[in-house]
Amino acid sequence: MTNPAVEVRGLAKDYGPRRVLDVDRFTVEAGSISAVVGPNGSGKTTLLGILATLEPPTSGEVLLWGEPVGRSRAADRRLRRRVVMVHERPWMFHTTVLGNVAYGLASRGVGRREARRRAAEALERVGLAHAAGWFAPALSAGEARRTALARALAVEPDLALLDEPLADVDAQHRAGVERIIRELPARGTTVLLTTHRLETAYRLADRCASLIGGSLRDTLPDNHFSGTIAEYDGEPVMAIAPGCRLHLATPLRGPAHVVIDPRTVLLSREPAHTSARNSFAGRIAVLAAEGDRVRVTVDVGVPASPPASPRGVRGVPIVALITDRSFREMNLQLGELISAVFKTVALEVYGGKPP
Amino acid sequence: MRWTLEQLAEALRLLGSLDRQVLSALALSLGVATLSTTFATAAGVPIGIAVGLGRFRGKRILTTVLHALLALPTVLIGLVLYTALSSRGLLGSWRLLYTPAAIVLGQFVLALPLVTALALAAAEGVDPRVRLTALTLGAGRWRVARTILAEGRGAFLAAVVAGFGRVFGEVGISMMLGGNIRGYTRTVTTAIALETAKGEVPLGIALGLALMIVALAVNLLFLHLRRRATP
Repeated sequence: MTNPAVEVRGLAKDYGPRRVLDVDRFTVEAGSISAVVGPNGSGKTTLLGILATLEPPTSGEVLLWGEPVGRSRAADRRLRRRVVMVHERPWMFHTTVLGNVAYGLASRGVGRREARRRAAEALERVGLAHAAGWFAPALSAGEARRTALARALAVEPDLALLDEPLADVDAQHRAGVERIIRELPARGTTVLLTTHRLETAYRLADRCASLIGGSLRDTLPDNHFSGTIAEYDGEPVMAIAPGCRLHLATPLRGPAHVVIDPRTVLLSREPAHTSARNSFAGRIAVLAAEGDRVRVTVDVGVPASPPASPRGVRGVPIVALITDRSFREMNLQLGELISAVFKTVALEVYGGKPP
Repeated sequence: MRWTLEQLAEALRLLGSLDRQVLSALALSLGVATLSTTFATAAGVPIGIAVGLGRFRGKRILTTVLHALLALPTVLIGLVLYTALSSRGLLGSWRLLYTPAAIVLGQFVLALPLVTALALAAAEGVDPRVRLTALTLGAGRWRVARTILAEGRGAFLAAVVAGFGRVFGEVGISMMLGGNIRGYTRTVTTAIALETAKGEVPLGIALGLALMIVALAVNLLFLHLRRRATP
């Protein structure tokens, strides 16, 4: 950590008696792309709002480029001009698309002609040059999001806070938006984005953190799966890989996150004849000693053909934390076929909605 | 029945011939109502936005007082201002009593709480993302306020229309502060009261019809503007 654009210490936010955000320490390196992964309602938007200086925290400290936020109105305004936030469901001002994109430039006293020229350029980047004269509130959700991205990037911010930048963007434009985000550090913009999809975070970000129930962890937790809870044979399941379905015990349905504590995952050489509903066969991909424990990563959901190399995860990793003693007793080997077994009640479900 | 029809026919004839008394009263009514609504808008909308977006101690009390003021009877406003404006009153030196300016002042006091309360509600009704988006794009306080006004223009326009409607049809203030002086402070409403009392029922009806037509036309105009403002 040499040059943080964002530094957070002991941050908390309460809405009434409810604590919605509790972040001990969090930093975003300047010139990087960081992602915060979490289900809806986990406090992602609140975190970005506080970092964008749009909302004061209940307690704690936020530093942007080493300068504390909330010291004075004028200082905050100066900082706010370097940061821009794009909301999950962006508001389109009741004017043209071009007028929307030029808004931030006009706020900075850029002349009308120059503002329109730069706004048109930004629209070009998101592939909406043809829509410049359209009435912005009539745009589709995906178009509105790309317009909002152009509107934010037109002011060439030092820090872009993007709340779910890829939700609603149709498949045709997703790659384009991802490319724009990836190019931002080269243009001098640090990026912090939130997403409820693990894949997005992995694809875009240099660093991922997870935010669950308002508390932030600097790394993604092991056995963190995101997907959709659906009914299968009258039972709630979540597909995590082809042919791999987690059996859940929850009334919730729809997009959700599931976390399995690695301490509750058993390893078995035989197909398990236990009460546990979840059993996944795979090869041991990673073995790591942690004091008197061993972290075993099982690569599940890979087609049956033997892997070219025993190392590295090709399917979905399921991590089991076992004692050094049972590791030695079982004499586990890299590349060995094994079953990861866990009870349905050991799964924690976040997000999802009542059906 | 026959009498009623005769009065109505005479009223329509007066209206059709653009009677000078009707026209001068109508012009004054429109003039004072427009001025007082303009002033009430100029003061009430900024106050409404400031209070609506502000987070401060006493906001609830202020809002409650504002709503209580909505029930202020016109006669009471007339009475208080009459006392202040009469030659020995606090503002007697202004020499405003029985002038159109006095009516404008009274109507301003009448419209201000209404326009402010509705502008406040309009500001609170604007999507919170408008303010946040404006702020994050670097807008200062004034630009934020302007943006909120622009995005909620339909609701703000409704506040202005309500203010105009309230003052255009009122009679208590015009009567007490204007004095119903023919050709000078005689508005449509005071004229109706007088002519009807005098037995000049056709003239009263003609004035009433004129009042209604103009009020309707103004409302249609605003409705049209609102439709254009909120697509």
